[in-house]
Amino acid sequence: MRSDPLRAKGPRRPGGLLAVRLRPRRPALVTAVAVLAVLGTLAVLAPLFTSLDPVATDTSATSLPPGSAGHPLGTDLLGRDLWARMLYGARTSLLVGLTAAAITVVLGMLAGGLAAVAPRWLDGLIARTADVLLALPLLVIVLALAAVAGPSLGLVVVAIAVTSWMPVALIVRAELRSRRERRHVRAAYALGLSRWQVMWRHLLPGALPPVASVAAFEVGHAILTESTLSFLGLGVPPNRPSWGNLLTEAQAHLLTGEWYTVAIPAAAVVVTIIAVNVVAGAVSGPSEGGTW
Amino acid sequence: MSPHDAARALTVEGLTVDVPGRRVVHGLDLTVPAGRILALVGPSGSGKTLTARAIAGLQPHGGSVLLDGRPVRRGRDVGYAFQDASASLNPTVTIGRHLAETVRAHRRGDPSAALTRFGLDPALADAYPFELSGGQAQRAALAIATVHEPAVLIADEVTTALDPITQETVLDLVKADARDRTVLLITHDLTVASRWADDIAVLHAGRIVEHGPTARVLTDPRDDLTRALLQAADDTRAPERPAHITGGALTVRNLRRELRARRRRTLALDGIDLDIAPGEAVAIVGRSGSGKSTLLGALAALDRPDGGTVHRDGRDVWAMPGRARRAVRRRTGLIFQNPAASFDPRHTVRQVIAEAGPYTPDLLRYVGLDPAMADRRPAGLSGGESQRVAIARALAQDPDVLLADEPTSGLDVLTQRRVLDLLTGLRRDRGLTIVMVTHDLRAARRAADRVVVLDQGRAVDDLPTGDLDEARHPATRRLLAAVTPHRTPP
Amino acid sequence: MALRLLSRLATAALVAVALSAVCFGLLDAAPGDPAASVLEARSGGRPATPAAIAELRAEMGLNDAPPVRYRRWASHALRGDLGTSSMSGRPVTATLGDTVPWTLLLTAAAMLLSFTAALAVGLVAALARRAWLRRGIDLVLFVMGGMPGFVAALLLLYVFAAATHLMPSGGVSRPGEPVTAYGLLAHLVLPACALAFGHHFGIYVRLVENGVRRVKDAPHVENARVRGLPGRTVVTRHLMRPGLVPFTARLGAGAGTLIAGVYATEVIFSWPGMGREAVAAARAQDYPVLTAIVLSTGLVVIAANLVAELIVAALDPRVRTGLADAL
Repeated sequence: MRSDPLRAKGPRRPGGLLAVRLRPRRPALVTAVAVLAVLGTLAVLAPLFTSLDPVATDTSATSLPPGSAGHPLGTDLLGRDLWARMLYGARTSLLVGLTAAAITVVLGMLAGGLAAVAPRWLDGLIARTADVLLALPLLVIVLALAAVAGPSLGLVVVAIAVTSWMPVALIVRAELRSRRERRHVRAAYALGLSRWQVMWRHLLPGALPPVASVAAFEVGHAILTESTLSFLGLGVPPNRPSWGNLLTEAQAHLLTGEWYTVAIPAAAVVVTIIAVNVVAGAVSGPSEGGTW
Repeated sequence: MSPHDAARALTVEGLTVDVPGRRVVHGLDLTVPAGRILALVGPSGSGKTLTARAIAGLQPHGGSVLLDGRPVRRGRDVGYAFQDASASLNPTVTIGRHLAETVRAHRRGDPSAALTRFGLDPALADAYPFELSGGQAQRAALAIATVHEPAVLIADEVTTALDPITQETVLDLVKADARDRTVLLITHDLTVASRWADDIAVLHAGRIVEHGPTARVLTDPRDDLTRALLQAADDTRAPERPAHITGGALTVRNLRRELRARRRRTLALDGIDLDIAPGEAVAIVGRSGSGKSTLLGALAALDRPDGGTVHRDGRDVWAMPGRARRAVRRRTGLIFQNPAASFDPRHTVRQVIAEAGPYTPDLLRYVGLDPAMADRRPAGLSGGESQRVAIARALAQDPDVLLADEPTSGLDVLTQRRVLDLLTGLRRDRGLTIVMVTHDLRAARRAADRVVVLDQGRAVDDLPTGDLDEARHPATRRLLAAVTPHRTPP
Repeated sequence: MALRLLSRLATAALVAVALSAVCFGLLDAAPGDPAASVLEARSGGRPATPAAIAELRAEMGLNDAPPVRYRRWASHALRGDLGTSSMSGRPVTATLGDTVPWTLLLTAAAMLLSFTAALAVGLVAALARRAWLRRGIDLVLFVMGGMPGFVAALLLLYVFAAATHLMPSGGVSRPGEPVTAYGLLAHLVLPACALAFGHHFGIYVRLVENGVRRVKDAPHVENARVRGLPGRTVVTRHLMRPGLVPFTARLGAGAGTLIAGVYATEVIFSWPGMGREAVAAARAQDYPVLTAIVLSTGLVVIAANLVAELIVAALDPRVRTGLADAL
């Protein structure tokens, strides 16, 4: 280790380095929001940006490279237009990601909030259940579930929500509990404030940023899980384009030179998750970052 | 070596310390002969701690620090005991390991002798820092700082957080240990200096304004600051009584309260009876853990007792509906120990006060703060400023009872005096009832008519402040003995 | 400590039972009638009569109440009988025996890689004084944080195998050649890296970094310095030991996340482990194999959690004495 054992403490930067580093600077946040807005618009208004059917095959135009006439991103082995498939894939992936994350966050906040105010035994039950579920490799169970029930969109959403509410619940519970113990909350009670006033003025405003942050991270996590499941052929049904499905189909091309069929959907997934993470980091304030 | 060997000494010449942007210590000269205790006294921000850190080599500095004429060897010649002992020890390592690693690094010293020297059982070597009480942790930290027999020991505010009896034990041990060591005692408390130091150096804004033997400095102070410090320490004016009384009455009968913390239960209050008349000022004193703060929480109608009753103006607060109890709380100003933590960190000073009642700039002016401070956040306030904001918040409630938990702890003597003056003035002008918890008998004498002594959850003594010196109960005598200055000539 | 350990063991046992119940439930809910498929297999593909099926169902105990069937299934499982694969007809335990060692090898290598790298990068990030170094680490972690494990795997596969042919693209040996130690190592590098440096890697780096940074300016470190201890002792005992507690506390969960990544990784790199087997089984609806893999993965994760718990207890006495929650 290269630190001098008797190193004197140098001047400290006001505000601390951590604040600067974990709070992405404004331009990054603006970029991230813009990227998400563009992706959202493309997905919602997909038919306006392409006239082609994402599942229609065209045997006269298979395996075209990007930039071909009429096919800006080229076509796949079956002659399906990649641009159209990307647009409609964004629809599926973002839809699944957002709904799954929304359900996850609602479930987690309900469970965590309940645990924070519930009697000791119920709190213990919720916390232990969350611990136990966290200890299990949930992707495996989702995998098995998908295999048993057959791939479907609803199953993916439910599977993601049921297996990822725990971090949200634990954070909500920990935030509310630790805040309840703080001196300033006791001071608020001493001023004669009611339980609701204390909750509303002191507990929730403080607990909200970390919860909002974990909620945003859950969106990224949900997109990630969806793409992984679909990539393994166990998520979104293969006849429906999603970024994960596109990657599955393109995987074989990687070794044969058509790397772009993989690179385009992969980049879409990565860019989306990074943008979501930037937004999540911005709302979290100076905290520890990701939770999953 | 002989205690008065003039050749062996710690010599500081032209010491300067800079923090970013400004110079805090301006060319300090100091000589401490071996075997003597020098108290470095001064208010907060006078540069005491920075000087001490510079001597220990923890702070880059200008000028020279010499021991017996040669430069101080860092880590070897100076032992340093920090203000917060338990934070200064590694929580994942036993006391014994702390001692052993220091001994190994310098190839000298005896761990169990060091523990014994500070009155600790050598078996405590197997304990982890967080398993010790505050006094034990401080003594263990002193043992660790001196196990390798450094020529100099720096004790940096080592007793600020301790109650007076524990403080006495710890400083007696430091004095006993000083026979063959130079000791630099950093403190803001002239009473501490007068009792345990051979010499006193008074520091003001990074310069030594007075330096001499303890007896001389105390009897014939030459600097204004020294005189102010002495005056604050010797301030024994009785509190003025209010002209008209508006305060509330508090009655406590057979109050019991258990504290439950991780399977352990302690009886914090064990059958307390107490009557406080409107307009009275009562000090509740006792050692750490005697149940003082718990009693205050019960008086504030904040914590439901496990037995007994709390009456406010003749009404049982736990028999009334919640809405009425909240009204009682609104009429009770509560000033927390370490008040900075009692402000929501997201709020400004203005918001903090406005939550208690309508904010006016006069509130801040009354407690001696600039109203321009209203838009600052609590994190940027000093200890004295936080204390005053807490008082302003309590005043905004327009209370008839004011409860204060250790309002002077952690403040330097001059700030303490200002806070106590504020409290007594409030009572004089507004006729409030004041209940103050403290382990500082001096503060009790200054601000209260009556002292209630708590010991292990029981009220063992209850007497007018004026009769304090004639108190007979052993717990009270012990507290008194611990703060009596021994002004023996060196 | 002993009490705490016992309670942890009890919890682990409870989780294991819950997991096995989930597995049984999955197997039970799987479409298809086991009796019918057995008869079909016996008769060489001819559909069986309803009477014969009913007879066999009674014989196999398929009409018993679920708890009874669960108990029977569990006792068989404990004796190493997890049924036969509906795909290959081989005993499931034989399939597990073929695949599990490969997965264990891969995950062990990935864990070693991931956790030591996180430790090293985290320490550099916490202690480095050069701003550009910390910024660089931040940027890399940021991009990695958005990369699902399988995308990282595809990227590695393309860069090191498809485009440059520096590394073998998959499997454990060259086609047709026996497995050699050197060859195995070469084949292990890419999948182990893909598994180790997924989106979760950044979390461990942050845990190390924040833990150490929080301790860096703590009074006890200053105390260690002022006592003149050797730099090595200050860093290892006073900085890292307390600073790494949050990191080690997450190792168990980290092992779980990492193992969850083997499915995609094994599929992409044709690694003959149980992840690939599970995906194949899931696609072919070979439920006995699938549930057996779910069960064994779960058990491995539970064991990893227990081990992590023990490491934390060894590092932090506050956990041993049950004081950790209070701090």
